[in-house]
Amino acid sequence: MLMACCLLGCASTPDPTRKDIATAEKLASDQGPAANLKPYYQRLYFEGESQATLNQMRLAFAAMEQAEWKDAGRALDEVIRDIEALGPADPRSREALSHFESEDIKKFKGETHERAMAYLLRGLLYLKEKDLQNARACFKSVQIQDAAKNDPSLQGNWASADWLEGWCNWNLGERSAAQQCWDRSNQRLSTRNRLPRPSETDNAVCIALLGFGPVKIPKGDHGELLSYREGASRTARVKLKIKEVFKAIPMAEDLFVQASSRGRRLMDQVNEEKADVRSGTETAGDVFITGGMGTTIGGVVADDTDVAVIGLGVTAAGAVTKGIASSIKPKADTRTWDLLPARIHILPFTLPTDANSLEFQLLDEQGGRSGERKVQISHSAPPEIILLIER
Amino acid sequence: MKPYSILLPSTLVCLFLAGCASTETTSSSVPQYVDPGAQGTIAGMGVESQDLIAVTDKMVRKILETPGLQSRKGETPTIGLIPVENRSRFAIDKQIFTTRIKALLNEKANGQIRFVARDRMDEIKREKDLKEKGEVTSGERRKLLGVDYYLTGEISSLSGSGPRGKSDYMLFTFRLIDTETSEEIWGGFHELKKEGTEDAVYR
Repeated sequence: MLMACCLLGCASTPDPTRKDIATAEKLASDQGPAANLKPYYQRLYFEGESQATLNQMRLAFAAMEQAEWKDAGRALDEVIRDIEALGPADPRSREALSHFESEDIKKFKGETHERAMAYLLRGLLYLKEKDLQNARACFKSVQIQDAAKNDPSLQGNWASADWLEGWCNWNLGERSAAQQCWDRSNQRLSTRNRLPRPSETDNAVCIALLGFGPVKIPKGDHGELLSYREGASRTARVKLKIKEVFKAIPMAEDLFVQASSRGRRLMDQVNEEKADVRSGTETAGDVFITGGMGTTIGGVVADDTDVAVIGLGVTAAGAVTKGIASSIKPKADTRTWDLLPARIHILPFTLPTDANSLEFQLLDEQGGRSGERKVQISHSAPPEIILLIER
Repeated sequence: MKPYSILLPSTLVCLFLAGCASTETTSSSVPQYVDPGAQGTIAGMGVESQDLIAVTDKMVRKILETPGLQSRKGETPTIGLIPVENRSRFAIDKQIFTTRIKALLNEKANGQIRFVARDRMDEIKREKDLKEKGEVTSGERRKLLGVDYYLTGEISSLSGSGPRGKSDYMLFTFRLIDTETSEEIWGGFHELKKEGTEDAVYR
């Protein structure tokens, strides 16, 4: 009976937020997105609320890669709204604390580096719109999101966000505030990697987003610990041709460093407790099964039916216990904003008024040339932002 | 392995049976009209409608109480709007504050204040040109209204954050600037602080 109850109890609950494909496709087509973005919209509507923020994040970056700026801005605004919603999580998400639900049942909000990147990318879009004040607001919020790290000395240490906040201040005519931001930015970088300050004639900034960002992986006996590995990248560095000379665009941020320095989460502790309980339950099940089988064999050898039956009962109890153990879900949530870049590179420069395009040289990890890019420019009022996304 | 890990299996069976009660389905509802001045069920840390309403209501009350808000020629004073400056950590629509203040002043000032539509100057000049060329009908030729006072403001914030949650103090300041003398004939402010903790599942 116990087994039957367990099996009944383990019946899966249908995802209440799942919509059928027809509805998803209709909603996606109502948005009227570019053809290449349709799969992202379909996924957004099909996978429901628990995945919505993750799918908006994916949609936003895909839209940026395809220069669909409005779609990207709209998606990032939704992401930011979700990130900023504090307070009790919805009941379904809170079940992630239960032994019998895994962490990835909760509504995705991303880890600190993902939340910070949502703000940084929104800031870049505001820069493209020449809305320097709102861009600055977003770069300030990058550091606020990063403050969820455990180690106070590592909280809010995004050199790229500081530099970009300085760029906004500089172009808003707040020179002193700009210098303070750049001082802060350089304090976070090693002497070798310090970012250049713009000269008086610099009217443009190049932001290069390179490679694939950090990937979340489960560690521990039951995958209960959240860990990271670096994403694969074909392009590790990039150079911009300025006045017939290729100039390296310095690295401002390494997302793997940001992701892996968050420290231990409260959910890591919860998942470890679940893993402990699972291990303990598995051990208890093994003990019951081994003891029960021994007792059964002893009963059979001694021709004692009662002992044999007791042994079988204990074995069955062991099997039930093992079943319970397997239903405990300690695995860490490894859903990842997989389109993020690995690194952010920044270079201010003087864009000649007669330039129609910019040339880039792409380099691999060893410094070998892995490709070239030519980016067309449509001149507008300064400051210009040139965004290069290369994998 | 912790000791409770061994003791737990027996109680787990009971807990399991109790814990496997059917999952509460997420309730959904059709969109409803709610009071824009009250905090919604979905609250965020940024500037929300209730903040906008509280700030602008207060500023309009203060502006209407301001003595000396008059044109130097004894005519109804004319006010121009400059979008607020955003120095906070929240991206906002910078026109929404002055737009609501203007709407409230238009409603409550009983014609004692006039506004100029400087945000529509291109269209207005085009129409004036057409009138001057005689291509469209025109009444009495009049000059564009000059601005007696500019209404503008600034939004600043101080933010704190940690693994448990966030705290944001926001300061909204507004002022009326005399365009002849650069004197600030009125200034007002509103401040608020929001704190929120992150649910355990996100920490």
